[in-house]
Amino acid sequence: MSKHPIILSEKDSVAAAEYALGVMQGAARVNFARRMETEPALAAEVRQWDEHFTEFSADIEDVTPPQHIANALEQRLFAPSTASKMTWWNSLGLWRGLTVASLAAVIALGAWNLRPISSEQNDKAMVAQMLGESPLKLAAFYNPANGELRLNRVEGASHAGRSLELWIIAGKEAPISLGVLSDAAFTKVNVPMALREKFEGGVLAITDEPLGGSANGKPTGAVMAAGPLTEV
Amino acid sequence: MSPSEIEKLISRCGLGDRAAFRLLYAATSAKLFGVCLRVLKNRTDAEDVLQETYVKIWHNAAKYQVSGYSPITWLVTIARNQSIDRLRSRKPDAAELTEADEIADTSSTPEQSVMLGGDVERLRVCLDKLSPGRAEAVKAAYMEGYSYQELAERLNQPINTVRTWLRRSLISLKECLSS
Repeated sequence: MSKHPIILSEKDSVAAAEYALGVMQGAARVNFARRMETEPALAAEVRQWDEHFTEFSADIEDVTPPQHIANALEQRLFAPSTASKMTWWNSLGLWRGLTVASLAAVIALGAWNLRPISSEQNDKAMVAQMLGESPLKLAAFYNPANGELRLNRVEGASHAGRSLELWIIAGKEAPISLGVLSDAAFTKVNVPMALREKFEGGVLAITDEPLGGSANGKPTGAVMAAGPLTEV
Repeated sequence: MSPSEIEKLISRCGLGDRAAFRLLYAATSAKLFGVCLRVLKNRTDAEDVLQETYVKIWHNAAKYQVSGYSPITWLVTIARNQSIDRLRSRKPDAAELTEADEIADTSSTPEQSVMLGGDVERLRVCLDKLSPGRAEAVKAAYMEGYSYQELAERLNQPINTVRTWLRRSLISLKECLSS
């Protein structure tokens, strides 16, 4: 990670305020958010401004939201046996909230160096933070240049006598299997040429399957973890 | 509900406690909905964003402890950021602009169901030290989620002028807040 000054320049300090206020927009806002991931001093400055500015919100009147929102949240977050009945599109809702900020967690989770040796090679490298209702948590790093997908299982494991199968989902297409994960914490998958185009804007998902994987090429078990691939 | 009670609920959410989430929603959703409505000025968008906000709250609750944020600020910031992101991606004519577009002085504080806690007076004191009109503009930028472009339009000033004095105001504010 790049070295950061402990004391911010006035320019950065003001920029942090502008970011917190919301006046910064477009590319500037996106770039600043990226900087915040790798510069803790900057993130801390924004946080300080957020804390000060919250006082403004005391003047915003409370408005009771309609009941259907609470119902929708119940369904989306807590629906019973959601896993077995979940369609792929419902499960995508879980990570719609993933923002640029969460990439920091992915980069921190990865035990390998995600910085490319040559910038051309990893021009469009992608990462995914795979999460779900279960304790299973993985970080994924995909290099389109050679079709190499690397997975780091941070937490969780397959259920006894069952396997974890990995899928790539492109758009609204049916999930395609990338194989069964081994018990090792680090897994490397060489993605076949024919499947590589699915990775851009795709979602990686892991389901709980019978030992050896699904017998019919389609997911049969619960979604244990999933995450959208985003460009680094 | 006090900030420390809110904080406990967030922590419990981080542990997957659904009852805690429901309580947190009950205690804070009116406040956050107000925030979303204020920025988005559109009921449907605000409802969508409120839902996304609480999904995000649920999924990020475990990270709250290390975030360094006080509980209300953490919640409000998530709601505001989600709202601003939606605002920026929205087409200009989708907003139902209300009369509250003028940059008015809203110094009255209605009763709140959630107390902010903490040193709430400092910002007010420091804002008062700014030249007249500046404080209102800073506040309007926060409340309405204005971009520099929108702020310039509403103040009827060139964007560079607005940028310059806003930055000066923020520097003054920082000096006052740090002292």
